[in-house]
Amino acid sequence: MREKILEVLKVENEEIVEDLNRDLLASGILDSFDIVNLVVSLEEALGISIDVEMVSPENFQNAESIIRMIEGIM
Amino acid sequence: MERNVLQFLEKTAAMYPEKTAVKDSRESVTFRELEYHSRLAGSGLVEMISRGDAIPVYMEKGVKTLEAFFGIVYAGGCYSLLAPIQPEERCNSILQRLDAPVLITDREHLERAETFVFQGRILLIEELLESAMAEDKLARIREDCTDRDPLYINFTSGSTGTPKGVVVGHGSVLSFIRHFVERFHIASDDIIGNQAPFDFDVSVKDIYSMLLTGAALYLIPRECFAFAKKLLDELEREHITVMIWAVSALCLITSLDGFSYKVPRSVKKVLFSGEVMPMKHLLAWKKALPEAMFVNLYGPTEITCNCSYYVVPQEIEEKDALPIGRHFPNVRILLLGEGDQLITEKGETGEICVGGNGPALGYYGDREKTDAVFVQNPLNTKYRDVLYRTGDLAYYREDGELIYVGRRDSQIKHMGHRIEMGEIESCILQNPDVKRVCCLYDEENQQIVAFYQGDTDSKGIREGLKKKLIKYMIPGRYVQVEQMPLNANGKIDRKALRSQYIDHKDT
Repeated sequence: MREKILEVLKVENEEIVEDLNRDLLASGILDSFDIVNLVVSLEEALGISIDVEMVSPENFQNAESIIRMIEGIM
Repeated sequence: MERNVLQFLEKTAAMYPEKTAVKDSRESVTFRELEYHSRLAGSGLVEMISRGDAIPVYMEKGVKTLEAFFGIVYAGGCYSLLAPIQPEERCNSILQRLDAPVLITDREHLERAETFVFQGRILLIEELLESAMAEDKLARIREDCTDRDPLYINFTSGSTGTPKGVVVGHGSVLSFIRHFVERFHIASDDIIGNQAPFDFDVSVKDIYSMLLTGAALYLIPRECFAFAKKLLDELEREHITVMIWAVSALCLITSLDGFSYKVPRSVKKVLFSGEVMPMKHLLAWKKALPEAMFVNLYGPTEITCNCSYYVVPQEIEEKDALPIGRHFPNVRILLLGEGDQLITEKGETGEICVGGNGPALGYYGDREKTDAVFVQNPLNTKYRDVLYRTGDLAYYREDGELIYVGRRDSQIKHMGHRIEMGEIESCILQNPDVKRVCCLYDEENQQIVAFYQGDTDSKGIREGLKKKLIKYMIPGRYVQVEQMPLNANGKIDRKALRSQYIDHKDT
């Protein structure tokens, strides 16, 4: 699963997976529209549904936190 | 009749002096304060600028940013917001084009402003607001103003690699806003929730609707747009009644099924523009807010906000097309076909050309580009009659409503932003290791794809672009090709690239 998530993240933007612990918001790698696109891509690719309340700064801080969030859903 | 937008401010301040005008996440001002502060800023500037000077304002959106804007206008100049999210090179290129005697910033952005290649003086808005009032000088400037004077300059993507500054005059904004608030019944009891950045002309409707009607304007912080939950909380807490938003921002809420969390029930009007609104998202919004009015607005920056509108009817369905509708009063729309003949037949496609009071004054400091698209109406040989050629194609539906079809050229809309592929390509070509490049838009994945031929990896290209382009213009995907497909004229064959790599068809 982890590999699959990383693959989706990579297609969305290579920079997300270059350093799994880099702060995606502070570094400006993810902006408002990127986050929505990323959520939609993850939902489609993994066949899951990510609740709007889970789309939070904590869960989208870095690649590791995104992976943790999805593993929690599944 | 008003000749200057500040007359809207002064009338409203006289009528509702103690009413809240603008609020951001840090402070708020009444109409009386907004007028007073703007006059102070204008007094501080009046000796430093000349009539018609274009003054850059390097600040985030906020109450003080508006005071800087109106201060500039009081002093006889026009303003241009220089967005801090832009990379330095793009800021420098805009500053070079504006060639201004001063730049206004705030304490927060001073340090970065000082690194720009800029010959003029850098002024702090905090200090301008402590200037001595110079009423006589401001009155003299007002006496000589005309409604043909420039009001603001918005920069938009240019195909040759440098952004173009669209100069819009007072008269166009005065006329447009009067009709806009009248058509959609925006009034003093409304609270407008601003989404658009101030260098994006969607915000012109927020700002001047507030100024004309006495409605309150709440500036929703940029950070909220990353998280739909926060955004919905803001809309509810501030009792927003009017949303004049970019399509992409509305979709941000529906893409995440935000209404399952909360419906902002105070919202009565939702007006959107920037790109084609996907029907699925529109229907989700209508379902959540069945009583609200929804309006599709159309028009590029060059014709002053919008030239046409369509009020969405109750009974619209997913299979229906969403028209861009009919023209606003005081604006003329002509559809011109092959050989510039006028199209009146239903169903026949032509280019949308806009005349009347809409067209801007042109591109700042660029006569050549101005003359290429702000042209004499080819159907009028008798007197001067300027049309702006939008490059957008449309046709009249059976009921007379205009339906948007697409573009004539390689300009695209990505996340609501107008982007010339040529601007991205010319920036990529500045990398000495790249021999050829072609950028295409992958509609399905909403991604800009850069195809390049050369001895470098995607990281090298991307890092170079970060210094030159705003984030939304940087391609999301890079494809290295052995040899670019060329057409008979030796130019890159865009169609072949598209069918091979994006549509995945064998050629």
